[in-house]
Amino acid sequence: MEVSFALSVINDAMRDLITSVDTANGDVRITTAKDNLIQVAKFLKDDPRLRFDMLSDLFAVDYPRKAERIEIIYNFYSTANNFRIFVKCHSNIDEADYPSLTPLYESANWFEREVYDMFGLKFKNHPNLKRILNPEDWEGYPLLKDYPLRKRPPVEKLNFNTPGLAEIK
Amino acid sequence: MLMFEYKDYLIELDNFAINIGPQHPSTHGVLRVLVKLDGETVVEAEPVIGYLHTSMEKYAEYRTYHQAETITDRMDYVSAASNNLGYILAVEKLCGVKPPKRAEYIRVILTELTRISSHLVWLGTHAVDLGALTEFLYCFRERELILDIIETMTGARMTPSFFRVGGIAMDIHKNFTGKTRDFIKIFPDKISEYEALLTKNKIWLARTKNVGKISVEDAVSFGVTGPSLRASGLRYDVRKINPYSSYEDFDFDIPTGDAGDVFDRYAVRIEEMRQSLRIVNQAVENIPEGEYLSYDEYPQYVIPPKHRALTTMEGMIFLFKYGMEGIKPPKGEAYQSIEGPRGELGYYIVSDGSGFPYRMRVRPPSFCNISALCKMAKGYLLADLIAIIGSLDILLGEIDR
Repeated sequence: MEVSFALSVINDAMRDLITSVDTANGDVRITTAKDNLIQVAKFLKDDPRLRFDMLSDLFAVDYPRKAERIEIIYNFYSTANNFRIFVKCHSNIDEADYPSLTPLYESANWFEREVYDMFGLKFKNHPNLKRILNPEDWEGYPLLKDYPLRKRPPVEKLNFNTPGLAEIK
Repeated sequence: MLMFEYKDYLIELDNFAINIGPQHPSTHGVLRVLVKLDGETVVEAEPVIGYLHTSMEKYAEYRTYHQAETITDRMDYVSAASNNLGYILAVEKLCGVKPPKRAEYIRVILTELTRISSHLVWLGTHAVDLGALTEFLYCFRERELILDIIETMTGARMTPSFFRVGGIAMDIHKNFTGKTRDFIKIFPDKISEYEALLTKNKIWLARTKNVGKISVEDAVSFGVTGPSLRASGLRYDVRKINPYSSYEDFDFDIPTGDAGDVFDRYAVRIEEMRQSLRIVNQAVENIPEGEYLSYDEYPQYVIPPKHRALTTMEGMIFLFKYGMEGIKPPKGEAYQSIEGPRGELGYYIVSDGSGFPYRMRVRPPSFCNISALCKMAKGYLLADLIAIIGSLDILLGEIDR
């Protein structure tokens, strides 16, 4: 699929929802507000011309100097059209109602857990929002820019009581 | 005197749960799976990851662009060259650098050899999980030959870090093509040998046919890629649909399955080894002449070749600058995905114009593949769960990063 065609389809349907379009380095990136994210993702997934059926990746970038410091980047891929698009969304860390894409894509489940684990952003209505890579009692969010590289809790504060079978639901 | 209460030994059968791992030989690393059972049937299997988490994405932010390359091959240490290639291609995209054809061909040879060696590790361990020990010994015998070839070329067996922005570190070693040709000669028979042990083996078929099925729609929704997705029937291979590093020059097929079960994933990978060997053969026979680093075109991003650094003044200056402060790609973002042995491996790099990556995001294929475990294992026996984990070809270093 041609970039210009995809952008024209997206622009026709969602002119008000998209704040900027960037095509540098051969990738297509569109920016939208977090309130419109679900609507944009639904359109990208369901529109018969686009059919972005795979959420290939979801991650965040921290810009501490910006007003809304977390930039969440969604990597949608269409297996039918062999086309990839990045959707960007900005948020604060303590945003109360940041939408979750888990109803639309199964892969969003783990990716959103990872973003929560690394950046502390809580996704609203996520079915199982807990830390995924770090231990559950870890303090802080390691990929934030103000988290130092070599921060490590003192040994007496580490929890050696391994979680047992009790955590099974 | 009553030592124990009898009720301590009562097991609740309705909600029977067992814990597999993290230290368990059939989890291929430190994967922990919480399994809820009904009799012997899996009701729910929840993978718990993170036991090997080393925060490599954070580390990369404190390294220069070429130092960060050495981090990438420690993520997926079984197919390190693939990880290097994905990272270097992303940085090249960011800088707008095009490597010379000769370097691209050598990159292809190394990554395809790595793919074969990675599939050999998978085949050996997967077969051991299901009780076929001979297969393991056969596979590791040939893997040693491949590691030997890679060592000849790069000096390291497992973690080469041989690629550079705009080319490769050194020109071809004089023994490299000869050794590779020898390997190409013997390997097809070896694949038949592996298949002779398994493909029509009744026990193998009983353990793998119609086990761990997943449909294309589910697999796509979970983000499953690589051989696991192709076994379900979708012909999705980044080498074919978005060719990178001169893959369009080579003639090869994409094997697919239709049932999406453990056997199809096995068959797809076996056939992929043959196709990789075809690519290696074509690449070795057609390595173009010329430079192996595009230093002349992009001197601000590309390391000078060694002989230039030792004989010319500006070569030495650039080599010094390159070592002291590294390269500084322009401000921007770039994404590049390649077909790793486990699936689509993507690198998203954000640059702020300094010598360090502002953010390096790895899109790990195993991470998505293992997240679909519950979907695949539901309704099958506990023993099948081991077959399914093996068939996904996960690598925990890459999942946890």
